[in-house]
This record gives sequence, structure tokens and C-alpha cells, in this order.
Amino acid sequence: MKKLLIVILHLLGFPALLGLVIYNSIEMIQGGLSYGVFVFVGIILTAVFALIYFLVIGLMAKSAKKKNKKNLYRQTFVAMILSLCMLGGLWVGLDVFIPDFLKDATSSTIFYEDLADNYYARSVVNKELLDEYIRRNVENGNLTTLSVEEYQAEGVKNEEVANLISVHFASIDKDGYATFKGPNIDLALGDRMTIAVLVHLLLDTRKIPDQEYYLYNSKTDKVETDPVQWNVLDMLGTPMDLADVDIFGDEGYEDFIAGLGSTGAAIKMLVPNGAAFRKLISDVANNIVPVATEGITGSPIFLGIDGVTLQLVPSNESRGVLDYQSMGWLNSNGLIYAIVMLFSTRKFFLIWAGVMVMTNFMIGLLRGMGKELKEKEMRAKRPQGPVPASPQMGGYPAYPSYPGNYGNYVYGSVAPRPGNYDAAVRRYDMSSFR
Amino acid sequence: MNKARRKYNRYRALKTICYLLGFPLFFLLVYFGSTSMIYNEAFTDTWYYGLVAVVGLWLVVSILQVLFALICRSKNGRAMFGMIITLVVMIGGAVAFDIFAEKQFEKIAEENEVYGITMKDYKYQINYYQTLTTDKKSLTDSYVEDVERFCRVYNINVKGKCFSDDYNMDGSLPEYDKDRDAYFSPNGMYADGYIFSMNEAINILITYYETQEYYADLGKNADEELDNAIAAARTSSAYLQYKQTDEYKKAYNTTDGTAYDHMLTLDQVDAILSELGDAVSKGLIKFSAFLVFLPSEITDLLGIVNGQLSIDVLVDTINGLKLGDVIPLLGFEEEIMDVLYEALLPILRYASLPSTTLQFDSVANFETSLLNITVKDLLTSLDFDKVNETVSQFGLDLSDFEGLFDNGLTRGFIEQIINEISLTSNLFFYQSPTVKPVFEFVENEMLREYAYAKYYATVHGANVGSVLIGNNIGAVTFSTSGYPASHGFTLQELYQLRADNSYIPKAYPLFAVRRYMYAMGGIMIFLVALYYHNARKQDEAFMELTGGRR
Repeated sequence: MKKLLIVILHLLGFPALLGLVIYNSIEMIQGGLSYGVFVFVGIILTAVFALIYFLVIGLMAKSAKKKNKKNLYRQTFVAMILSLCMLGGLWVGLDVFIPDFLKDATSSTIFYEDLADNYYARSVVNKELLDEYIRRNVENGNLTTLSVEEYQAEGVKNEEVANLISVHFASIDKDGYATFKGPNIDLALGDRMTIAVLVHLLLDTRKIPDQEYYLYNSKTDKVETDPVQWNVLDMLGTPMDLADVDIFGDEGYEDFIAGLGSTGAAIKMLVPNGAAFRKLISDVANNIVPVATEGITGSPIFLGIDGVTLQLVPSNESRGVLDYQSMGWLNSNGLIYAIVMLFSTRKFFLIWAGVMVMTNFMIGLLRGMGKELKEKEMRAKRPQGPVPASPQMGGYPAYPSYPGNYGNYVYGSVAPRPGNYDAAVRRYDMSSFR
Repeated sequence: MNKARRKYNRYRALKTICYLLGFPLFFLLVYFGSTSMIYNEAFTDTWYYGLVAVVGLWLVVSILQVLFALICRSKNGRAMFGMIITLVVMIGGAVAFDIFAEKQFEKIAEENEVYGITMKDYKYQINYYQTLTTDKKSLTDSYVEDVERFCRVYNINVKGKCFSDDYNMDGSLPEYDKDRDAYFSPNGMYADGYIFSMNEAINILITYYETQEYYADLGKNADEELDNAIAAARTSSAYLQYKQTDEYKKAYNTTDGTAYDHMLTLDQVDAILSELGDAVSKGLIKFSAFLVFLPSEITDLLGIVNGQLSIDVLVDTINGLKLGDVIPLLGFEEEIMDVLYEALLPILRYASLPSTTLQFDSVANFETSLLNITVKDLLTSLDFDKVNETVSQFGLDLSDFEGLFDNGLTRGFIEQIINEISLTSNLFFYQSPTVKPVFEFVENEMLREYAYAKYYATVHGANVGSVLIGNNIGAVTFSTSGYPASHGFTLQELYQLRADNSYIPKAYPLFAVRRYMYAMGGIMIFLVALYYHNARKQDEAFMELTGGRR
């Protein structure tokens, strides 16, 4: 019964923790399987800790010369401290040092607070980034061999995808972010995109692009490798609202046509409704604006109409890239997955630090409870052979002894006289010396 | 465990408890008493002052006790010394703090009296800094609210921040001034990416409002005075001399100045026109069917829209335009145009040179000749002095456009306009971080300070998204419009905040220490006595255990 309980308590320790970490990680692993070892960081860490733990307690049990209570207590104490330090200590330490480290390492794009309890959401973002990136590049013809689903299933294990990400990031980083001088690009990315910042970012002299860039050219049906430049809208990656224009709405268009009289009627034959008008404006504008803006700002800007809102749409979609920050993440997605998976262990480790202190304590109690052990101890305490002639020959195993000629002197005791002396009874009884 | 051992352990435990109830508890109390400051940005740099003070007191008491223990072996002697030291440090320290701080508060109140600041006295603040009565608002909370409102309205933080703190747009290096918590360029102005700290923003605003008030009291307008002073500075010998220095030329030399990389230039406009022309011409080809809906005057003009479009092409085209091609585009009713021709006839008759091809004998002939004349011919056939004299009756001045009446529109004239825009428009001008601004050469010191304050509050603030002065203030960006100016702080509120900032962040964390110094002083002296009592008892128990050996 005792052994069964000990086994159960051991199973409740690292094996249960490992099982829970694996169970908790399955979905995240599936999402980032193509990143290989990085998505297994949490499991690997737990397994390594489990191995260290079992090695230490195994070796301690094996190397203990005597199976007495003193050794058992020591083993129990070490096991408790070991599990507490490995599981709790690791995260208490990381909680102190990792927030600022994470902030610096990710250029203030991922924070400790985003991951501590919400790591799963981050893993979903990681997966979606890659899926969206692949979708864009299949649609624009950069990736042609497989279907979107097949590429997404293979992820970065697919050499084409991995290579494309690396080329695209180098381009948007070195021919994009790095070409903006001074603080303007940081101000724009830091929610301080003022008119002056935009003017500088669009019109200031910039470095000539020199990074090779892959982009499918529908005219030549080839993937071209010319360098390209990026503008600030590409860095931000989202359309920028310019103005609300009433005539882009269905009602507004009808009013506009009515106001033109006979010319309006003629136009209406060609452009019958608001939707057709929006399409026409969009088609006309996007035959002119992207070409002009590419020459002026380094990268094409398209005009979009969302409802009645006129928008400036960056080239990210057509060029197959995400915004700069997302490209940065995508380029280091393996590492980000590793961090996410590390964080996925945090709560379990902290809980198990407490659980394992308790289970180890209970294991220690159970190991010290046995009848067999008591008998062993009693045997060890019973004098063997002739009575010792001097204090040096006696034994008080449960208490620390001073070395040298007075090896049996214990803390709080007086020097035993030669002859029979029951230390267990007389240890603190000094009445006969008063 | 026998009785002696239990006794020994009991006194050891009691001794430890007495120790822990002393300084460690004092530390914890001060910590909890400082929580309202620890988690507030207003106390970013000073929240720990109280805790440091506790540790300091703890160290002083401990070191003195250790030193005394080296020369005194008597437990009673050590106890007495410990009690005296604790009394001196805790109670004496609190009393000394009261005396010192009260005087400091009086001094601060005196300094700020001139600004009409009402500063609560020390005895009030020492109790209200953190109230113990439920629902009674503390001074710390009020102060934090003011700070947060200021930072929110002006879109700044208590601490300054510099985007790209290692280089400006032109590559020059900003330097950090720790005392002012600000980043400065080589010319002494803020670095390009610097976001004001609270104190810097307050000082800028105070300078701005004070100067405005000063000139208003004199019945003058500070902005007008500044414009005049800057105009004078532009022609001052000091500034003209400065413009000849390498420092200035490196940035603003018209051929290769580094600042022009960040300004609107003639070449840039040419390049933009060429790109636009090319794109529009290619785009229009696909939609030529729709061009039939456009007026012929416009479709004719579209001929110049191609890759060759430049300032020169535009100048020639505009000069060659007949007014008959332009006026119909205005879309006025015929009746209105008739009235207009009648009104223009006497004016142009008066202002035209004898060589003009315009005919003034009848309205019909005037209209025909006007519609047939080109823009250039019209401009060159006018007498500038007479035109300027005429428009001056409407409050206009065409002095800057005189050249137009000599040669029509020219590249030189466009260049002049672009330079004007580039050098005077806040949007297109780039103040080189290595060059002194023109207002550095304003002689009047007050106006000079005002010029800097105004530049920072409006131009620099608008650049980085922290506008201090304007119709809209704070985060005025593409996606946010900031707050209306009415949300800004008044001069009186700014004085109050400046005065508060000068002492509250440092004083209030220490108030927490002072409060618990009094509260804990007596207890700690008693605990010192108990500690030594228990230590002595523990020693006795040990002696009992060891039979007299130590």
C-alpha cells in the first residue's frame, strides 16, 4: 500500500506535469509544427527538468549508505528544494528579468504582459501571420507549385516559403525601414504619424535600394529579382483613410447624376449605379496613382473605396508582404514560437512547484513510516559487540558530531563519561551535573 | 525536548520576533504607505525615496549597534545604547525632518507667492498627503490627477522620450541632458524625435503665455512683435555673417546643403511632375472613351501630361494659355460674365501699358481682345505700379510678384515660390540640427525665448504629435485630432503644476517614512529593549544547556 501511494505521488509530480504541458501544447504545436524544435521548447524543458529531478533523487537514494531517517529527511528536503527551484524559481527569476528583455528584443512589439497568461492568443497570431503571408504570395503568383492549403500545411518547412520570407524581410528591412533617416519612421510606427512625419517619410531623400527581391511579374510570367523600395504605408501595412466622399455612396451617386441633367443621363448609360461608379473610379485611379506614387514614394500606393471612404492602400497585398512589424515577427517566428511555448509552461510550473513540494514531503513521510525502517534504525542504534571503552567508539548517528578526539560530543550535551551511557535518554538531561 | 531546550528555543524565537517587528515591519509599513506613489507615473523617479530612507536608517542603527557591541560586552549596555540610538534616529529624525521640511515648504511657498500660487502649509500637507479617513481625497490623488490630465491632453509622459535617440534626420547626434530630461541637437534645440517631458512642456507653455500676457498688457501683440523682430534679425549683420559660415552653408548651401534632403526643392517638384505626367498619360489611354465627357479646354491641356512634364513645360503652357480657354472653365453664368467684363474694362484700361493688345473702345471688343490674349501677354502688358496701387485698395500687396509683370511666369519665379514655401512653411522647412535658427539672432531676450517656446509648442510639437499650442492640441495626427485648445492648461494652472512638481514627487514618499517614524518610534525602542532581554534570556538558557560553557 505504501509503495503504491509513493508511486502515485511520484506520478502526480513530473509525469503529470509533463502530460499536462503536452496536452496544453498540442493545438499550438499543430499550428507551428513547421518550425520544428522551437514549438517543442515547453515540452523539452519539462522533460529535461523531469530527467534532472529523477536522476537526482535516484542517485541520492542509491548513494545513501544507510537507509535511516536522517538520510530520508535529507533526500526529501533536497527533492523539495530541487522541484521548488526548478519550477518555481525558474519563473520567479524569469518574471523579474524577462519583461524588459522581451521588450528590448522585440523592439517594443511583444510584451511580457501579452504572453504571461495569453500565450495561446499569440500562438494563434503566429499561425495566422504565416497563413496570411502564404495566401498573399500564392495569389500574386510568387508561390506557384502547390495550392494555398498545401503551402499552409507545409509552412516554413517548404523551402520556397522559407526562402521567400527571408528575401522579403531583408528587402522590407534594408530597403524599407533602414532607409528612413531619423525618428520619422519610429514616430509613425509609434502612433505619432503627423502630417510633417508623413511628408518627410514620403519626400525625403532615401538610400537607393540594393536588396534582391522576388516578385512575380504577370506580364513576363516570371518571378523577378530586382530591388524594390518601400514607403511608409507599406511599413504600416493598413489602408489610410483619406476622406469621406458622398458621391461614392449609392444615394450620393444618384444625386450627382440627377444634378448633371442630360449629361448625367448619358453617363448613367455607361455607369448605371453607385457600385459601377466606385469600380470605375477605382479602375481609373489605380491605372494612374500606383504608377505615379511608385515613382515618387518608391512603392506603389493604390486608391481604395470602402463605403464612401476614399483610402490610400499600400502595396503589401500585391507584393505579397505583411506590414514591417509582422514581417519582423514572421522572420523570427521560430523564436517567437519558442518564447510562446516557454510561457505556456509558466502557470503549470508555478502550480507544480507547490504541488511537488507537497508530494515530495508526503513521499518522505511515507518512506520514513515503514516498520522495516524502524527496525533497521533500532538495529543500528543497538550496541554491537563489546561496550565501547571510550567516547570515540560510541555512536550518536542522528546528531552532528565534532571531529577529532571528541567525536561524540553533540551540541547541547556534556562530555559522556566512559562506560555505559544511553545518549538517546541522557542527551539533554543534565540534572546529575548540577 | 527537555525544559531547558524549550526555554532556549522560546527566547531565540522571541528575540527573532522582536527583531522582525522592528525595522523589517517599519519597511513594510512604509512600502504599503507608498503604494499610491509606487504605481503612479507622477512619482516615476522618486517613489522609492521613502524605502531608501528606511534602509538608510536601518543601516545607521545597525552599524552603530555593531560598533558599540565591539566595545561593550554587557547586554544591558548594548540594550541601552540600542534604545538611545533608535530614539535619536526614529523620533529625533522625525522631529528634525519636520523642522527642516517645514522651512523648505515655507521657502517654496514664498518663491511661488509671486505667481499667485496657493500652497497648503506643511502641517496640512503632512497629514493630507495620504488620508486615513474613508472617502477623504488625498493630496497625492489630486496631484496625480493633475499630472495625468496634463500628460493626456498634451500627449506626453512625465519622463521625456526621444524617438531615434541616436541620430537626427540629418545624421547629427543628439545628446541627453539628465538634469532637464531632454535630448538636444548640436544647435541647442530639441532633437528631431524628442517628445517633451512634463517639466519641459510646462516651461515652454509658461514662457509662451507669460510673453503673450506681457505684450498684451502693453497693448501689443506678441506674435506681431516677434515677426518684426525676426524680420529685423534676418537683415542683421550678425545673421548675415552667420550665413557665410561653413556651419550654415553645409546645411543650407543652395546647391548641396544637407537640409534640402528633407525639404521641398525644385528638382523634387520636377521629378514629381514627370512621374505624375507619365502615370496619368498611360492611365488615361485606357479610359479615352470617358474623355469625351470632359470639356475640350481640358482635353487640350492634357496633351502636356506625359513623362516630359516639368516646371518648364508648365510655365510655357501657362504663359501660352489664352484667357478664352481658361475663363469658361470658371463656369460662371453669361450674365455674370457680362457684368465682370464691364467692371474689368475701366480697371484694365487704367492699368495697361500703351503697348497692350487689349481694346477698350467697347465692352464687346474688350471681351474679344481679352479672350484672345495669352496669360503672358496680359501680364507683360500691365503696369505693375498701377496694378499694385489698385489692389492695395483691397488690402493686397503684390510686391513679391513684380517679376510676373516683367516676363510672365518663369522658372525663376516658381523657384522663388518653392523656396519661399520650403523656407517658411513649417511643413516643408527642415530646421537643421547643426544650424542656429534665425530667431537666435533676435536681440530682445524675451522675444527670443518666446520664439523658441512658440517654435517648440507649435512646429516641433506638431512634428512629433504633441502639439502644445494650436486650435487642437496634443495628439494631432492622421488618425487623431487631439483636444480642443480649451482643454489646455491656463497659466495659473501651469504655475500650480510647476510648483507642485518642484517638491511633491520628492517630499511625499518621505512623508510616508516620517508618518511611521513617529508611529513606530516608541514601539521600536520597546522592541529593542525586548530584543536584548530575550537575547540575554537566550544566553542564560544556553548556559543552562551547556553547563556554563559558551
